[in-house]
Amino acid sequence: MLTKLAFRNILRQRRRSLLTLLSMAGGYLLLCISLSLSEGSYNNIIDVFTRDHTGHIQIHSENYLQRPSIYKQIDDPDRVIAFIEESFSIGSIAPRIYSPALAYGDNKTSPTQLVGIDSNREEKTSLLAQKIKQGRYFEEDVVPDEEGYFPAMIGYSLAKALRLELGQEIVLISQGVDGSIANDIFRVTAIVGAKDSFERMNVYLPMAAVAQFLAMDNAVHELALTLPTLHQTEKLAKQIKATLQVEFSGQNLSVEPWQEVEQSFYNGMQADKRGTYISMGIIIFIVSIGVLNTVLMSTLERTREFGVLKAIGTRPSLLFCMIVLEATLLSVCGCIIGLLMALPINSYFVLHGIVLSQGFDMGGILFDRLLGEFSWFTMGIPALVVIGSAFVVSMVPALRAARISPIQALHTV
Amino acid sequence: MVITLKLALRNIFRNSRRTWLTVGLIACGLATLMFTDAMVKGISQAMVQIATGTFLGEAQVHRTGFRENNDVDLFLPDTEELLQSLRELPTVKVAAPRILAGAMLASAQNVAGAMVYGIDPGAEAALGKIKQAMVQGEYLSGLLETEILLGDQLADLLEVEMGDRVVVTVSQSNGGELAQELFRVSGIFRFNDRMLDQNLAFINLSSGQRMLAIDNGVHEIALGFTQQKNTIFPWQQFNHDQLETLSWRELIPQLSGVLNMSDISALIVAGILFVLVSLGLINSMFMSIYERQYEFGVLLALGTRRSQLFCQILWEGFFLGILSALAGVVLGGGLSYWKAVTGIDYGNLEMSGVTLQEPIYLVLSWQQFTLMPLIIIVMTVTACIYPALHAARLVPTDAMRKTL
Amino acid sequence: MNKRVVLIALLWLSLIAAPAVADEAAIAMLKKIDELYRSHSSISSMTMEIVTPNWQRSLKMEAWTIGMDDTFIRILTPKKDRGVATLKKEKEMWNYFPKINKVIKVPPSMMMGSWMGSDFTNDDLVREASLVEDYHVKLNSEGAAHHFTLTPKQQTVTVWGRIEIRAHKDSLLPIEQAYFNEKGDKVRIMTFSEVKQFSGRMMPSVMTMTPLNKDGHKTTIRYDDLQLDVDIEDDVFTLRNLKKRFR
Repeated sequence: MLTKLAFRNILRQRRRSLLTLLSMAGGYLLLCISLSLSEGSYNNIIDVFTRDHTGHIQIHSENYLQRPSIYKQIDDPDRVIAFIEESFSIGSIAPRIYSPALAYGDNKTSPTQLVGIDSNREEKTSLLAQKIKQGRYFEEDVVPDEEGYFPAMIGYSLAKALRLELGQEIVLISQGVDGSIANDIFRVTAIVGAKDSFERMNVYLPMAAVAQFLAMDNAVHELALTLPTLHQTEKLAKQIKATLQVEFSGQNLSVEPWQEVEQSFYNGMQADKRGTYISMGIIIFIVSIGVLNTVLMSTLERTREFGVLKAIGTRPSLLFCMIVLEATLLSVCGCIIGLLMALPINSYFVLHGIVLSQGFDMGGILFDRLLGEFSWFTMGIPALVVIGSAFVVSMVPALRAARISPIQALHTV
Repeated sequence: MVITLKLALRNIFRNSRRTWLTVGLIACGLATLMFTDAMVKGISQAMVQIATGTFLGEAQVHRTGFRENNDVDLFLPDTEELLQSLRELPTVKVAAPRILAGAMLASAQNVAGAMVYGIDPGAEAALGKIKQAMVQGEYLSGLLETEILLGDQLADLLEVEMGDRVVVTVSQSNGGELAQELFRVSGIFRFNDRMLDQNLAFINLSSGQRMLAIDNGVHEIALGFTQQKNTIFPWQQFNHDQLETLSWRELIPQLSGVLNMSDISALIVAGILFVLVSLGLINSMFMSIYERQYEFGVLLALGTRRSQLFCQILWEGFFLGILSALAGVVLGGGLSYWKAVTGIDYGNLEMSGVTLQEPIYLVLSWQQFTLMPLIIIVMTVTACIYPALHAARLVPTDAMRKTL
Repeated sequence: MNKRVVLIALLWLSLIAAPAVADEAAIAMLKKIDELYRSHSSISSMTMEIVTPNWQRSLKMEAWTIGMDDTFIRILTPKKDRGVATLKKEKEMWNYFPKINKVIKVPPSMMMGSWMGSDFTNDDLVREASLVEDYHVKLNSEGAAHHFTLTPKQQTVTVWGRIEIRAHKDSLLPIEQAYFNEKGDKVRIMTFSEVKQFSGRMMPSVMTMTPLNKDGHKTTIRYDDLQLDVDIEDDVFTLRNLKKRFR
């Protein structure tokens, strides 16, 4: 009965209702899009950054991250990998071996970081394969070429410093885990990265070659995991750690989510997000002021009408409920209209994004577009804000109308 | 004309509640816009100041190609003249010459690789924060050849304390002869940045030049400007095929990327604010027109020209705009000024390797007080065009059918 | 009055002169100890035992030296590292790796690094000056052994605050060489033991270097054979010789 009445009222003042509706829908739309863009871009940056080389979760021997040493190893990595793949639903997992080394080429020397990778797994876990500037990524099964040299992919800056080009020899000297003098020649088959990317001074070798080079027997330094979604990273890291400690109790393995591995990046993102929340807060504030404005105006206009209703004997509580219901109904309709408008716009942003004319660089990774995101957060929060503020704000004129004496009301313009 | 003006003025105060509501909305919009702008400017300024004021300088001069791999041989020879002419520029507050070399530092306990900078203590103190970053001992006096400053993490790694021996090994220019020299730890600094505190050591410029055998050459001249705006620097005057001068924007492209990004997001916020405010404004204008439909009908029936009616409503919008702009400037200006003096505590945040520790002080600018209110006024008038057109097109007989 | 001044002056003089005379003797003694293993020239074969917490290994090698300047070392076993050679001439150092058939100059930044993974640094091998040139020597002959205390001269480039050497009084054979930082903490210690006769001279055949700030690290060098003052062709100390294939 009350709803019917409220609906009838809304429909009666079609033009005014339409205006209010549009204004609320506009508020919803704008809030929705700005939330979607900021959340989407934020998640996109994290996604691209973590996929670049870090992965979402990393496993090391205890304390490796704080003070790396070639002796802090994960033993029997195949078993650990198989166990994790079986017990958890993860995207991919890639083993890595790290060691400092000296690189020589063309009479120049340079210190370098040696990275042993499993070509197939690495391709699925990081963006390394996509960052080949020249040459080709490792084949599935890497074998030495006819001269007995294993292939090596070297960072852009290292290639510059050593004046090396594709097909040339690079000499690496390091110390094996058995104390032996590791020395060997490799063939440069690819140059990766750019002058400020993560891998600029690295040398990538196939796992088999680096294990032989460093005399490492069935051990790695790092396992990098990616997950299907970013949401539960920290929780999952804890779970994996707990199970690994039971299953591989002999090895002291530590499991860190990307938030810990890339702490300074994470802090930066947190700070950035705080900044974004401030501007989101400002937008929410303005949207609710807009709703307040509309609701107040459309109800205050009707003082005379309420006076008449009162005069014919409507109970104040009924009047109060009716006014609040009207405003709330209007805001719900406004949100539905807003949602209908937001859907196509938002899906465009999710699929294509806004391309920035000038991208920006974060740790050597270029971000050049703002992306949107569909989620309960980006679609729900705006509705909550609009409906909530309409509901709260309409109480003020509703109370006033409920209290007003009919004669006084009829006298106002 | 005058009568239209008067009518407009009187009209907006006739329903003063609605007017104040509208003015409040627009003023709030303007105030938040001013505040957001001042905040974005404040954050950017703080970040640039920290990034350039710590050690980098606002611009750097190098021999072309030096930055690719810090080749010791690519130094600027005979820099006396260059330094002189740089220092004579009105924009340049300080020009600090440096040599830099990858070196091995050895103590009795340990060995560690580090970047050794030979610096001019006086110029460097005026440019950066090394002197303020000292946590133990003294800053370089420039008098002792054996002075060396270490980052606290580097000192930790070498297990050395004040006065301890540190042997620095470098390869000299032109041929890479081995050069070793003895230094004594005269100070320990901390920038609170792992990269700097673990990898940097400072010695006197002359010691460095002698060690590397590069006479009066320097690898880098860091420039501090009198103002942050670097557009006035005559970049072209100094650059030639042997010399490149780069501003911080090129030296740390990540930071300028982030700044561009925050400019863009501020623009987006501004755009959304404008749209929202316009929507609210159109809404309230229509409301007021509907209410006065009868009145307009009467006016039209009495022979008022439609253009006159149109103008009157635009004038109403204009006055609303002025009122709102005034209120907004007072509100936004007051709020921003308050935070420009007291600062916003943003916590300890790090962005692109720049650590902000002090509160952020908002930056007021003349645009906030002139351009933004002006835009708001123009916007209100523009937003009134549609309701005004609507009013001017009313058919008297329809309009005079009064609704409740 | 005058007499008294002269007397005091003389007293002072004698006080100053006495250690000066003793120093001369100490320097001569120390020089002898320093050159014990090198003499004018030497050819030796030795075994180096390296112990670390993570691995331990034993290397057999041959070494040729002339004076303090030129050194040539070649590794014989283990098989994996066989043929790896180091040439040091004055201040420069090169390594040869037979597996890749390349001679590589040791960059200055690696000079302080460890030589072949041992507790000796490349710098220990490069140092050509005798200790007496870089250090003030003080001798204390009380007790059973000579006790030399070496403190670096003003311009000496070294990380050590003090080096202490103990040697047998009669034979002048070293017993122990300890390295201190300036705070007086002992940082590493080299001990000499198992005196044997080589080329008609008695000398300790085993040297053990123990860094005291790294737990579980130790390097022992054992001389299996040592010929002193033999003729060595100059072309031993050339890059060409370094590169020469060795089976």
